[in-house]
Amino acid sequence: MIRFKHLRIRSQLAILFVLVLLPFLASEAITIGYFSRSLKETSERELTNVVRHLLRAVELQSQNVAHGPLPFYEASSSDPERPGKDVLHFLTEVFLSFRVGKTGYPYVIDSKGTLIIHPAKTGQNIIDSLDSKGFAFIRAITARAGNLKAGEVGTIRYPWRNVEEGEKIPRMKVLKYMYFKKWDWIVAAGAYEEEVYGVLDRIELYMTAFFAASVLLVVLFTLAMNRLIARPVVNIAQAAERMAEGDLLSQVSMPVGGHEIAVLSRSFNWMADQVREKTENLEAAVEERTRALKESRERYRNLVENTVDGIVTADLKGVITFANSGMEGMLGVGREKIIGRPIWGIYEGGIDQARKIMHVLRKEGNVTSYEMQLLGPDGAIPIRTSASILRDAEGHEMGTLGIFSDITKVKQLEGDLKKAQAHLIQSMKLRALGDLVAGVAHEINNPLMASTTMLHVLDKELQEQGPSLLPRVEILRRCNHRITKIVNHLREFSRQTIMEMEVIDPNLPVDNALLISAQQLMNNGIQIEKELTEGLPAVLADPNQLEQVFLDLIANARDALENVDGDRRLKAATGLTDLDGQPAVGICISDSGPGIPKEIQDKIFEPFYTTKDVGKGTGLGLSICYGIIEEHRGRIDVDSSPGEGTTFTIRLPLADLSVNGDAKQEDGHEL
Amino acid sequence: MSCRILVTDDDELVLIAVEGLLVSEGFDVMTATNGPEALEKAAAESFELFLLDIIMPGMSGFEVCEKLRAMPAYAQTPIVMLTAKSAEADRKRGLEIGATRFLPKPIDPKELVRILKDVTA
Repeated sequence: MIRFKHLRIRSQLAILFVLVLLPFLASEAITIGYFSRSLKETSERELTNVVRHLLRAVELQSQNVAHGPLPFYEASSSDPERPGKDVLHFLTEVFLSFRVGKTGYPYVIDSKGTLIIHPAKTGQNIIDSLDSKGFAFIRAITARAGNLKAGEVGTIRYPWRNVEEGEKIPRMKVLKYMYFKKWDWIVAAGAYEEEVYGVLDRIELYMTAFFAASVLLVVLFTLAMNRLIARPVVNIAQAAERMAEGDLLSQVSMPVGGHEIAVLSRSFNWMADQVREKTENLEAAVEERTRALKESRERYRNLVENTVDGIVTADLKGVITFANSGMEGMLGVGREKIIGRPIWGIYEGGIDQARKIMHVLRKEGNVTSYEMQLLGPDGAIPIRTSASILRDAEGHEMGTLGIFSDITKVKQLEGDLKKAQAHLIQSMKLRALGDLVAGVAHEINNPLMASTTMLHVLDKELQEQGPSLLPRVEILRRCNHRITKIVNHLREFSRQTIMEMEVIDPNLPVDNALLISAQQLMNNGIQIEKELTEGLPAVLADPNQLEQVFLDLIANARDALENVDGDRRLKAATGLTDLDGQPAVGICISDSGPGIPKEIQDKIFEPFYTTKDVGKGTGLGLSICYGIIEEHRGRIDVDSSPGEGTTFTIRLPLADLSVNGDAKQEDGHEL
Repeated sequence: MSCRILVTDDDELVLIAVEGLLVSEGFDVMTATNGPEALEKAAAESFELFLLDIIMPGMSGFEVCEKLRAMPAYAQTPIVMLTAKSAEADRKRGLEIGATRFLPKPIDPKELVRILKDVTA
């Protein structure tokens, strides 16, 4: 059941209107109607009294007739039931002396419609008289009169237009009548209502007007209530509802004035403004904050995504929960194949590796510059790891964060650097040794020369004086010969010879060296393969020195092939290659010998390192080659594995022919 | 007829050995152990050939060679120089100042004798 207080205010107003104001109006209408009717009855009583009095007069006259004729009653009438002439005359006088209102008058008519007493039409039959609506009102009166009881007054109202007076609008007439049966007389008195009621009509008009005014006032009051209270309240309610639905622009149309509704409306609008302003501020703030957050997130995302380092996070069980694009690149798979895997699945060292890292993490709190390997698409990738423990806002461990830097290039560079350092150290060692050797060679030179010369003299003398001693001198001579050879080698090694640089075809010294060694190689059963590329760019070199290098390499090859059964091959090849990123000429001398073990490959260029028997090599040959090639700004490398033979590769830079079309002379002539 | 030769070397052992060699080959040998002494002897005596070591304390073989060439008597006399450095710079410089031949040390005695005979022929 709906309670009144739950109804909308307009419904409440409507109910109030129906329950309170309508009964009030109704009672007012009833009161006015009753009052008006009473007043009319009172007014009409005059008419009734006229009729009663006149009927009484008629009655008295009829009794007088019974008791003797009146002076004016003509007793000549044969019918005792009819008034005599005098009586009629008397009554006529009486009747005509009456006036009702302004124009009303009494008259007598019989039941056949014949006027018996009338101011103007006595004797006429007006039974068929019609009112202005065409109603035969006389016939109606004559019909009803017979039914009236004694003393009862009949009433009839009809609209009447007095044609003789020239009236255009019919006016209501009221007629009161009584029936006097004895003479079949209908005593009637009629008058215009307005005349009968006189001021009463105006009062009724006023009262109607008052009632109408009341109704109007009530309606106006209700409308005013609606307008003043209900509508603004409804407006406010609707605005509030709209605002509640999210329309923050909702406003109540602004009533002016200082009354409570206006104050409420203004307050509401002010409040709505405040809410809107606050909301807008809040929205702006939220928008700003959201933008900042987005920006920040984007920045971090960029940071994380664009770094070449691999970044992963793992939960406490070691399952990968995040991987960046760096990680994808490193592992060569999409992150959907990384996330969800256990972290040790990407470690080359597997779960043991993960345990080691966790051990360090627990001990140190973090891991930095820890070198290990990841399982890349093409094998292990050397990486440097930083790791830390991830914690949530309360400081509880959530998992681990790992950052992996690919250090393949670093490792490679380190290797290159080590090589370069080794080269440099080698060069410096050679230089220092060269100085020392030069001094030694020089110091040995003189006594050696003296010894050799003296032996020569001794040899000559003994041939004449004591030939039996000659074999002993020969031993001394061989000693001297070997010393001489060593000294010459030392001198060469110390590079205290001047390079004679020329622009030459790189094939030339190779060809010469092969030519010189050919016979010896063939004697040793070595097959020579020559693959010299024609038309190679020129190099700036000392042809004799290069020839020396190739002779040395060929001699080494020959020695290496000495104990080889079967296939003995030596191959000399030239071609284009590169040196430190620059185009260069490459010369390879390869043999099919037993090869050089890896562990001594680094040592073979060191001075005095030899694998040959004592007296067969000084251990300076390759060292000298190294020095010569170094002075040509080239490089000599060895590539060998046991059983596969050995290849020495010499790379020489191309001659710079840009200056005057000729090569620049590199070395000075002064010492 | 023996060829008169002045051998100059700061190393006494070399001097003795070369002297022995050359004498046995029929040269008339005189020796000097340094530059000034060589010049002094060259001025006092007359020589048909000079064998000069380059590296000597005090005065180098180059200087001695220059000064000898400055002496009218030795303007055309063969001067053979010995050096432990078979360096091209030495050779060039030596030839510029008038040395006849340049020989590396140590040298085969037979070769030395052949060359010396060759330049005086």
